[in-house]
Amino acid sequence: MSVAIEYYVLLSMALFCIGLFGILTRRNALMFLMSVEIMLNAANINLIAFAFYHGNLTGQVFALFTMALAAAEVAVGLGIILVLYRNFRDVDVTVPTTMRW
Amino acid sequence: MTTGPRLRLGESLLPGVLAVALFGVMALVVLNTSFTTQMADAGYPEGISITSEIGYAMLDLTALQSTEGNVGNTEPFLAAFILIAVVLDAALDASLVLAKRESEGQPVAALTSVSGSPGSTDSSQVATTDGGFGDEAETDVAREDASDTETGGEDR
Repeated sequence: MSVAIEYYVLLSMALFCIGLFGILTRRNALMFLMSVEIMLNAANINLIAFAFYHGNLTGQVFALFTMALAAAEVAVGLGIILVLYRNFRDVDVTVPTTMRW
Repeated sequence: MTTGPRLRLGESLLPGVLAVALFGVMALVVLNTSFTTQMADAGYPEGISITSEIGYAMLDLTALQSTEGNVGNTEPFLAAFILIAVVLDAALDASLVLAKRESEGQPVAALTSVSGSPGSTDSSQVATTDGGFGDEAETDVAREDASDTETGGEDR
């Protein structure tokens, strides 16, 4: 593997910004969840690329933990979306305004 | 009629442009950073199994861990492993609590497919997954579907 580390970082930044774009422009809660997953995967790419760069395995183990946390987040997020749909008949995040200041 | 994604130019344009601009700034920062080690010099030593080394690091089996290169510098992660296991368990419980329906103040288990009002033996009312009873919920959904097709589908 001789791809320079810069390109891995650029790839991860591109993925992060795609996820941020999704969060800022979409209103569907499921799209939000997918965008957050994309941003988490951007972090994983960084962790694994720099683990290779430094020659130890800390980043790879940490990436596994990030994946487990992403799974936990999706479980809770889907539960929240389910309740959102039950209460508002919609998954539009701009509809529930009760907790807005 | 196309159902593919299309760029919406409206109130969401400015945040989208901000995200793209953030990528531009971060790309400039990275391209102006000089990474000293070349990727060709980095990497793992030959002849060791990365997968088993990850397992040793995760379970704190430092005695079994290889000391070649920098692999021996990998930190033990046993405490984090246990904490993540607890967090996953809590997330499972939380998702079950969120998925439970309440029928007249009584929680109804998420995994049952048939429920009537408490004490009644009428099993003709089949509960749907969205919490309402069959016929009422279905008409709602059908109405929403109809309005979606009229406006050309959901586009958000």
